[in-house]
Amino acid sequence: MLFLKELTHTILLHPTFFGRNLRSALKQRLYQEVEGTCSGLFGYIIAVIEIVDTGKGVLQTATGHAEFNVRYKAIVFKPFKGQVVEGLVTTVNRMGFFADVGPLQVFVSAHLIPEYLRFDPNANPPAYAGENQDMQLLTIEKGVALKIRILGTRVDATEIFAIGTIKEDYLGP
Amino acid sequence: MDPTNCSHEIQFRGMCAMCFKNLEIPSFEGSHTEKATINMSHNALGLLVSESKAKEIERETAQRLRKQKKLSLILDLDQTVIHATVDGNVGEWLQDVNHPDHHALKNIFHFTLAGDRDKNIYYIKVRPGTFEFLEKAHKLFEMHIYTMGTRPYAEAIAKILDPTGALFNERILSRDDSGSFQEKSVKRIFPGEGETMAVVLDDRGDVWSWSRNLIRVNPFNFFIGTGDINEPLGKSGRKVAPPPNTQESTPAVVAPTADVALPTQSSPTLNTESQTSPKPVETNASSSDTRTENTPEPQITPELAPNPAPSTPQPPVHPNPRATTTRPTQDNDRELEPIWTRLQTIHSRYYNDSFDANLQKHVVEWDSDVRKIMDSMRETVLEGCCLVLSGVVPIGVDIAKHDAYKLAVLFGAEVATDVDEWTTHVVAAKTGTDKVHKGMRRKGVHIVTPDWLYHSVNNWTRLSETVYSLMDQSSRNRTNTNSSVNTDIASLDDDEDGAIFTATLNMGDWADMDAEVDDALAEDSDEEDDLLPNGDEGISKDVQEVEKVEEEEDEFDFDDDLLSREIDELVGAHSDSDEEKTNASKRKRSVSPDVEVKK
Repeated sequence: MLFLKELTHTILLHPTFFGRNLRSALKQRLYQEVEGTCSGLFGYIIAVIEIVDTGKGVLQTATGHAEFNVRYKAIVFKPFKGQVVEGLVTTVNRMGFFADVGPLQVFVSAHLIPEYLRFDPNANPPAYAGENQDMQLLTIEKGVALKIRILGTRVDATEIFAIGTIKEDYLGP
Repeated sequence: MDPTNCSHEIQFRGMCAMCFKNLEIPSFEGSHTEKATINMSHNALGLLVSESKAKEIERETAQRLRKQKKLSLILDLDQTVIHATVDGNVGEWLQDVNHPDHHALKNIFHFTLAGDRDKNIYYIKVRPGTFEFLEKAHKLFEMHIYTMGTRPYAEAIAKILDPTGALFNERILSRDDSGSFQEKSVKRIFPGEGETMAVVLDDRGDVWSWSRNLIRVNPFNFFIGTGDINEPLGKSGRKVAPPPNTQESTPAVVAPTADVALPTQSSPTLNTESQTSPKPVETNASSSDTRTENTPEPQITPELAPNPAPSTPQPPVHPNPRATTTRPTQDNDRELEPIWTRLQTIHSRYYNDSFDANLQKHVVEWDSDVRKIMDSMRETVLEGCCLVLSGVVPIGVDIAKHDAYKLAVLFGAEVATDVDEWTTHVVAAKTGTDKVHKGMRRKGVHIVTPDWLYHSVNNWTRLSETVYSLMDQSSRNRTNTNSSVNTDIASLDDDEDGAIFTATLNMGDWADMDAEVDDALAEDSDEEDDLLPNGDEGISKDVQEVEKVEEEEDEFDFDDDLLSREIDELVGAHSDSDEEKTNASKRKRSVSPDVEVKK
C-alpha cells in the first residue's frame, strides 16, 4: 500500500557546499540518498514530495562537515499480507514465476497458479499456458501484467520479499 | 496450507512458497531453511528447493527429454564457441575493407553492455561452424549456456548465437548465478538424475575437475594475445590446460617433405582432421600488441593466404614465408566438426535399439548414463598403455591429484610409479632422468613427451608415439638452438605461422610420416635432422619450465642412493657440454656411457 509519510534523514554536508546553493545541495543529496531505498519499517521510499524542515546545520568539530537533520514527506510503498497488487512477470520457471510490483519482487509458486495453467518447458520464452472455464486461452510469460494477492512477506532491514498467489477469482492475467 | 504440516520444499528468500511462513525464525524442530538448499533455476533469484523436490523436477525433465529423444548439452562460451576481445584496434580493422584479412572477419559481432561505465566495445568472433553446430545440436540436445562471464555478457552472446531464443531459451547460467568464480559443476544445473544425460563442452577441464560429463574442446583463439576475458579467478590456464600451441608440433615434422604436404580433398577420420589442421594463430602470439600497427604487405591477397582447411583443393602455395608473419589472425578452425561426430556417437549410443524396445513396452525407467558411454569411449583411447610419468608431476605434489595422472586414468591407461616389465610408455618432460634411462633399456617402451598424452586426450585418439618421441624432440630442439648451422631454418622457425604448414593430412599421411621419421632416426645424421622443421617453441618452453622442477625430482629419486646421484650429475654435466655442440649423434654417445656405468 502507498502512504504519504513524514520521515527524517541525516545529511552530512561538505564545507564546499556552504554558500548560496546550500539548500539545493541539501535537496540533491536527500533525493540521492533516500529515493529508491527500502527500510524494513516503512517499506520502499518511492519519491520525496517536499522537505518540511532542514533544521539548523551543526558543524562537526573534527571534520568541518555540517550535520542536517532533514524532515521530509515521501511516498512509501509497503506490501501487506492479503493485499492485491499488479505486477509484471519477469522470470518463469517450472517452480513458478517471479513478478515485479514496482520495486518489490513477488514469487508465485506453481502450487498457487490455477490448475488449468500448465508449465510448458518447450515454449519460447517459457510459459504457463492453458484455457480457463470460459475457454479463454491464457498465458503467463515474461512481460505479462497480472494481479497477485500477497500471501506472505519477509521484511529485512533493507529489503522486502513477498510470496503471492493467483489461484483466486479475479486474480491472474 | 497449514504451516505445521508443510514440508517447506520450495523456499524463496527464507519464506516457504507454499505455506508463506517465515522460516528464518528458529523453531523447536531446528532450522527450516536447511530443508531446501538446492538452487534449481539457472538464475540467482533466491529460490531454493529440497532434495526430494529437486529429484522430482529432474525426473520430469528427464522423461520429457527421453520422449523427445534428446540429451542435455552444457556449453561454455569463451574460447569454446566464441572468442571475445575489448581491443579497440579490431574496430579499425573491421572498417578497413582493403585489409588482407578482411575475409576472416565475417561472424564478428560487437556490442556494449548497458551499465558499463567504460563503454567497452566487445568484439565477438564466433568460431567457424558454430551456427551450423548449434543448429544440428539443437535437434539432439537441449542446450544450456554455462559461462564464467557476467549475466549481461552471457545474454548478449546468447542473443548473437541464438537471436530467436529457440536454442537456449533462458537456459543461461552465468558467474553471477553460479555462485563460484573458480569452478563449474554439472550439479549446479542437474542436481539429480539429469546428470546422467548431460554432456559438457568446455575448453577448460580443470574448472570442471575433469568431470566425466566433459568433452574438452581445444580453445578457440582468434584475437591473438587476448586469451579468455572471463578467465576463472586464481587459475592459470597455462598451468593446467595443455598448451594449445604445441598442436603444430605434429605437422611441423612433415610439412617440408613436399609430397605429403599435398592437401587431400576429404578427411576420413575427423579426429585426425583436427590434429592436422595447424593453428598458426597461436604461433605469432608474441606479436599480439603490434599486430595492427604492422600492416601486412598489401600484395598478399587472401587467395594466396595459406588455408590449411581440409576442403581446399588447391595445392599448397608457398609464398615468401616472411609475408605472413604479421597476419593478425586465421580463420581456419575446424574443431567443432570432430566434436559433433563425438556427440552424435554419444547420442546414438544412449538412444540405442534397446531404448526403442523399452519405449514400446512403456518402460519409463532407463538406466543408461552418458557418463558410462563417454567413459567407455575414452577408455579405449589409451587402453593397454601402462604409463610412467617422469618429470611431469612436480615434487611434493600428490601424483593422483595431477592432471596428467587424472587424464591418463580417465582415458584408460594405467599409471605406474616406476618402469617395470609392463611399462609401455615413459612420459617424460626431459631426457636424462632415471626413468627415461630405464625405459630406454627396455625393448618396446616408447619414450614420449607429455604432449603426446595431452594431445591424445584432446583428440580422443592414441596418436603416433614416434611423432612425440622425446629423443626426437630433444634432438630437434638442440639443432634449433644452434642457429649458425642453418640460418634458413632459423628464419623459417620465426615465420612458422602457416606458410610451411599448408599440409593437411589424413590417416594415410600419418603412416608416411611415421616411416619418414623412422628413416630419419635410422640414418641418425645431422643433415637429416636439420631438414626437419624443428623448433616448436611451445614445447621447448615447456621443457624449460619443467626443468627446474625436474632437477629437484632427480635429487629426490636418488636421495637414498648416493652413487646413482653422482652418476646423474655426471649425466647433467655431459649434456650441458653437449648443448654447446648440439649434435644429435654426439648426444647419443653421451647417453650410452651412462647406461654402461649404471649396469
